[in-house]
Amino acid sequence: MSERLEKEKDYFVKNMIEWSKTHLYKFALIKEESLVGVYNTIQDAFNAGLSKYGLDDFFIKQIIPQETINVSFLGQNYAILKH
Amino acid sequence: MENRKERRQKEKESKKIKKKLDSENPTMSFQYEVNALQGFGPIINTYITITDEHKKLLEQSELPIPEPIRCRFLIDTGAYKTLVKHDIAEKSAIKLISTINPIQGIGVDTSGKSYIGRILFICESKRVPGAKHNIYVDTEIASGTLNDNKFIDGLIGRDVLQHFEIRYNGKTGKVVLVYQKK
Repeated sequence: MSERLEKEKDYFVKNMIEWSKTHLYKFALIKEESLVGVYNTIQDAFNAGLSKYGLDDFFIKQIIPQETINVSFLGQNYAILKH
Repeated sequence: MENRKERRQKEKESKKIKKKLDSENPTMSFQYEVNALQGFGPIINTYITITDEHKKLLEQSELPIPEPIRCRFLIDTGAYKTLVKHDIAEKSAIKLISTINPIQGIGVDTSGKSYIGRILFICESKRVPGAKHNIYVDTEIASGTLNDNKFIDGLIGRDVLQHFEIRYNGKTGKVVLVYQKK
């Protein structure tokens, strides 16, 4: 069985560079292999996804190349305590 | 006649209470042992749950509404977003929106996912004894392995903290979060 949102993820990765030329920092709403819309906020994209697809899966991601979430405070203390 | 008078009196009282609650900035105080605060950081217990929009859809579909999950969160001003362990995100049934979300801490956690959910705080009113404030922030919540550490279930990042004033007293071990009303 394939992982949830795998198709959408691949579609986003494939097209993200192209979309970033015109929609940088906006939020893409994707269902299967189709870009449903581009929104200014994640909340707008989420509300659009809920109203179109209800409880079904849909994919939202900000159009930023190579985004990582920085949680720098998860530093030495927790790494040491773990061991 | 008496009933109407009593009802009016009750309405008046509840309006008065509501006014008092509305005029209050909900405040949560946490007291730590000084060395524990320095060593572990401010860890608080609070809830993660689904948003109202998500809840409405579940109700319309006559599906069960998941209970909020109580978690141990580190207040992390260094974290850009709020983050929980994968199992907490799944248990709380918040809405999955993305499966690519690399998390950078020590190295990069490539298992990161994204959800939309609610961080819920319940705090007692200082002005109305017995009354409680429900404060919440609906936000994008990342999930990751958090290095499998046993001390916390997640991090509360700046996406949630931007709605609070934080007071950190390293000398006394007291940490205060004051919710900033919109």
